[in-house]
Amino acid sequence: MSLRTPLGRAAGLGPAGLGSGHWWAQRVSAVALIPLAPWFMLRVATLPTLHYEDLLHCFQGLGDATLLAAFMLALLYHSELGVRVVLEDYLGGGLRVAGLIAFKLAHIALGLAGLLAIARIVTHV
Amino acid sequence: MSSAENRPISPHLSVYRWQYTMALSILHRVTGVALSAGSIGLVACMALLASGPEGGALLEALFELDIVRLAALGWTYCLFYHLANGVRHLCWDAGFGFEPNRARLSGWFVFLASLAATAAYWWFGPFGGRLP
Repeated sequence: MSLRTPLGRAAGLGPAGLGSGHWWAQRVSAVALIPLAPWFMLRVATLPTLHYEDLLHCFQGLGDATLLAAFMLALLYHSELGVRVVLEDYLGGGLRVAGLIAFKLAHIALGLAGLLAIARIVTHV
Repeated sequence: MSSAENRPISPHLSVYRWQYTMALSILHRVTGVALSAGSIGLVACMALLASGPEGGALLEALFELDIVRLAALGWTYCLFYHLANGVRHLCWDAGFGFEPNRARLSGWFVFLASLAATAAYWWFGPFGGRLP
């Protein structure tokens, strides 16, 4: 017994109207994090000390700053996709809508704050 | 009968015999939520680092606190577990290792490897064995 209409199957849409896009985005961001997360952990682990100057200089290079931005954005994007599923599982009605909006805005705010912090780290003298 | 009434309903978890792979699955979600919460801490650390010498001094002072180091240790474990189990999930998505025996074996591997990675990171890593 197929539960899907031919049009729904062709368009790849699920009952929420979003379909496979969320599933695919979660996988793509997961694949991005496979090298980025270990890079971040190793970058911090191989510093001579954890003092402020060492941390600052570590992420001031353009390559390191770019990778840090990529790690943070991939992490937050993957986080939003994951938290969304958890909220959809456990919340219903208006609380679900409010939760989805609040957590999406919180992730966007964190991403902006992180990007501005990186910009300031790079330009710090 | 309308198709809405005819739909299969959610799996009744209570009819399944308990298996440790279920705990691993739950742990994947728990560590994911913990990492989401931890991303606030990560961005806060970056903001302190960017804010200048006073912020940097505060960052250093914070990481001398046991509660912060404990949170960082927990974050490290969550990251390694979610990363390793995430690779396991991606392998399943690609069609590999989904047979019950292999899924159970990879579950043990992921569980032990993430513990070992966390221990190694805190012993050899930036905190040099200085546990909370």
